[in-house]
Amino acid sequence: MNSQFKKGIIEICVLKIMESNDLCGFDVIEKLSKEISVNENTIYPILRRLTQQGYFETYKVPSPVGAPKKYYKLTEVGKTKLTEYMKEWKQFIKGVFRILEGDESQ
Amino acid sequence: MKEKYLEELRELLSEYKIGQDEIEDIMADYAEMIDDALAKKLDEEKIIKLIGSPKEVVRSLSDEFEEKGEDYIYIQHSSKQKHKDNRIVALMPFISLIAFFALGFGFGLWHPGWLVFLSIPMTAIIVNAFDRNSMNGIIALSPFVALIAFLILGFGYNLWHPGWLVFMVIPMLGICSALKTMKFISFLTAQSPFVATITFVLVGYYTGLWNPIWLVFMIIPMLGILHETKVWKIIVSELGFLIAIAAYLFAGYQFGEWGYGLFAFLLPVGLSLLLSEDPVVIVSGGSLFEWLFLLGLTIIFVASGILFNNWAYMWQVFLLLPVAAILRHTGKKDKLVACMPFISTIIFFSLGYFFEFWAFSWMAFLLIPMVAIIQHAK
Repeated sequence: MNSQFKKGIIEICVLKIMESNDLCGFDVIEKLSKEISVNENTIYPILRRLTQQGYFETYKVPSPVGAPKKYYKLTEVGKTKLTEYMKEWKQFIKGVFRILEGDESQ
Repeated sequence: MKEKYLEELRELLSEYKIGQDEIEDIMADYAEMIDDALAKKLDEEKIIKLIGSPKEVVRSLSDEFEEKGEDYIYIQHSSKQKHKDNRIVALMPFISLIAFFALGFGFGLWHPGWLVFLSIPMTAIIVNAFDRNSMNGIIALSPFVALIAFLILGFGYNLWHPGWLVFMVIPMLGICSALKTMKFISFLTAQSPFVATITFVLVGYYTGLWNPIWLVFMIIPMLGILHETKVWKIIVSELGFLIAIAAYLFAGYQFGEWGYGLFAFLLPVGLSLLLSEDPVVIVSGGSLFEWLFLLGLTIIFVASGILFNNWAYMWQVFLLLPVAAILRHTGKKDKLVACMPFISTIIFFSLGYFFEFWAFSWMAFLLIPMVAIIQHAK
């Protein structure tokens, strides 16, 4: 699959899996790699960029065994973006299915 | 493992122009991720698979931010020279002003001495846009270099026409920048319109042989055909073109019937339509509408050429083919932007052909980026 296309999907997935839970970086990578076949080392850079773009905010939670852990939380801007992406994605996938099922007339 | 990994990551990150805070943040994130992975008793191999090797991490970070274009670039390849170079950028306006006055008062060269001011943006581009991995700097510089060359040719040698051809270097360099990601034959095909135009104008201008030198434009479809995967189709199509060219030249030189000679080109057009699922002459695939449209345009072209002898101008009717395909198949928002290269070409050629404004009409090509900028700003 085209790497740009995959990155776009990862972006939506990263936003989506943090819609209801705040997660730390490693959890995001682990969760995504369990569900979909991705190049794991691209997840953190995407997460970082999305944070820089204001879709996530971070906060630290003290850890009993080491340095405080950084958690990512979806912001309002991120939620809006996710809604937008989901809408686009659903529309796109609907079209793809129509083509794959050989019914372009609908 | 953790120390070694982080050490290597830091070393690689330091080769990029990233703020120290940013580096520390990335390092802390990876240290934390490794700790998390170790806490889950993952082995080294699994950890590296999950978070990537330092080299992969830096490459992914770099790609991620660079490909987002001007909106968000925070990683650039560093250069120890940068700080020193930035001082040169800051000094350039003063240096240019001094040079301008020196040329003006000292030698009376106010004109073209003003050209020294172009060195201000050019220096900034050289310092900031040059990147060992891309041609961005050269492309950004090319309009200035082309403008200077054009003005020298114009003012110095009164070669406004065909001096405007130097502007062709801008899109040609743009295409060169995509060489890494495109097939060589696609690269040649993309360059062919410019090479053909340059050859056509230069040979036409200096020898007056506009006809038959326009045949040089045939390299565009002839190179385009090389994308075909079946060798026999390539051979048949290329032969079609060669026969048509030979027949056209024969009809012209032997009998003086250049107009009728054009009918020979119905052979490659027909072959192209018959042999290819994605015909070379029709951008968007074959349909009854496009067949009729092509036929109509050919009739207009030939009839107009025979009646008014305006072959050199009327070739542009064929630009309506891709325009029609764009109008039918491109989204509403992008129609105008996609059509602008063709509209600009028609404006450029019309102003030159009818009013001899070759020296200025190239500016019609500036409409292409202008329209794109306006459209994307909406």
